[in-house]
Amino acid sequence: MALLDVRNLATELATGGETVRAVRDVSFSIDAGQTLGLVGESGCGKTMTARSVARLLPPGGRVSAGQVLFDGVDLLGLPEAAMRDIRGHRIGFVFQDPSTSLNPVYPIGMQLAEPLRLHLGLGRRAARDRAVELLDRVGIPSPARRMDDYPHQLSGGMRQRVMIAIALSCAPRLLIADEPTTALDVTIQAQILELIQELCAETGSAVLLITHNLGIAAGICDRIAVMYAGQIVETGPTDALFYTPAMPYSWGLLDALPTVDEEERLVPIAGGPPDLAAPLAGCHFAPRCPHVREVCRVDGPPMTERTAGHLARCHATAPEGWLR
Amino acid sequence: MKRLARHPSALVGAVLLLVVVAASLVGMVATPHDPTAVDPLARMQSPTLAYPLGTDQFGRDILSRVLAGGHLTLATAFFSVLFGLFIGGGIGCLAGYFGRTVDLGVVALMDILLAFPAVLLALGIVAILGGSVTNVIVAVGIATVPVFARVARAAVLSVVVRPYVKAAIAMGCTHRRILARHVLPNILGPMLVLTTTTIATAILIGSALSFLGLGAAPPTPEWGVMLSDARAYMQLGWWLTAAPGVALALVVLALNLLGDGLRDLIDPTSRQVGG
Repeated sequence: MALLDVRNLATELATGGETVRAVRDVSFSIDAGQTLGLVGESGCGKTMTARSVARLLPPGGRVSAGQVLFDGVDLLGLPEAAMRDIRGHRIGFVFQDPSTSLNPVYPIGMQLAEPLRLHLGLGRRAARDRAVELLDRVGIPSPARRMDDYPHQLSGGMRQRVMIAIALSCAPRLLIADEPTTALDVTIQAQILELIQELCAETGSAVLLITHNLGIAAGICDRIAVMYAGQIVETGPTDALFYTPAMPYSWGLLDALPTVDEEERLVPIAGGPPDLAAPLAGCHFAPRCPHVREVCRVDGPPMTERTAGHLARCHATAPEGWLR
Repeated sequence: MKRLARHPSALVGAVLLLVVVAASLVGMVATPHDPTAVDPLARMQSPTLAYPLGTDQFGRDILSRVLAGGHLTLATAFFSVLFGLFIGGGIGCLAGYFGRTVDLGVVALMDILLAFPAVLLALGIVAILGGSVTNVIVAVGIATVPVFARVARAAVLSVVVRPYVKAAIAMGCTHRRILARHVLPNILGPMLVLTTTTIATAILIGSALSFLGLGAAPPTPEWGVMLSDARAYMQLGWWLTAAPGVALALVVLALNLLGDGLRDLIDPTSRQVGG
């Protein structure tokens, strides 16, 4: 059984009189210990998907349909108190901006000890000792001395290491990392990703990695799901998705990746994503798709299997399509 | 404490406040002369060795009266602001944190209260409750409630949207824990600064009420009462109003210097590295 099984999730955001259907019928699953990359451009609904899973939607947001089965329990039906016990304990979070995700008025040691005391019931001394170990584990030099530093005394990369230590402090079954490296230098990015990968392997945590960077996803994910305009348009094992992408949008994403060896120009995807507040007919990508045909504009394609475990939402690359 | 010593204006404020408070405490038990003893032969004397700050129209020693009256002025202001801070700050925090209907109601109520000048509000409340020092404390306290509520609410609103509050929710903290551990410490700075300036305001409102005969009443040596008593004789002797006036100004200055300094010290981001 999958650790996390999201079924037909739909999330709406009420903003200024409009209802934005940010997530539309999203289904995916993550097995224990597995890493899934949720990839897509800004505003495609990937963050809202993750927030729906943990029920951390902003004001005005609500899940309108679907199930989020975590260890077989539907999180959407849990009382708030039970949900609090899951957050930070069974599901850990790493956010995008480490410089503001730490409370400026407390030393980092205290913030690291908080979940330990809250969820594991450790005493002050035990939590502190454990916090020092964790800081050491995430690669912070002389951790015992760093315990009393305030967040502003650390560099961005160090802060993100602290955030990772906090997120993994209770050995969660699932780590949700929302653009964990976006705010960091490129040189630090690789280190942080490696750290996440290494520590999660150690604690056996599954990872839901949210990123707009296919390269990052390729580096550490077992499976990748590409999101576009509130839907998952293609999902499959990382290799399958990279070597045999089966959806024009994925092709576009791959073409937009910079490569080292050739002096090839990056090819942008023409146009912009659709307005999620307006009703959409047919395939969401049809207006930007170079291979579009009449059927795409009228009839939204379902997710169909290409190879084992590799699904895509496209008429053209379906077995009876015109791009076979 | 060590850092306080390195902050010059905070240090000056703290020392000044300490001096005033100490002098007032001494004044509670001992003064050079009896602060209420009338001496017709020694009336309206300018400062001399026997009467360093002169005497008033009844021949009472002004230094003794300033010393003896300090604790009343300070304590009234302090307790009323404490009252306003807890009630107003509490209301503001809850309104800012939970928002929605609670927030709307609180904001409307506070706007109504703020529409009245603080002195008038306090005056009305004392008029209802009756004039006494305790009632002045309550009245001035209530008059400061909307100020504290508004600032607390605004500060909380700016804090709850910060990512670390989101992170605390994602960590599984309860509302109470988030409020107490993540929100409150981050609004302490503005609240502290506001408290110091509001104590100054409260001193003035309390004095105004005494002036109108609703708080401490003559012959009690209270700074506000002294100022109002001396008002009629101001042209005849500058020292009549100088002493209580300077005392009030010093306290206000001390409070402001200290408040600013404390704000710098409490906010860890404005603390110098290695400080």
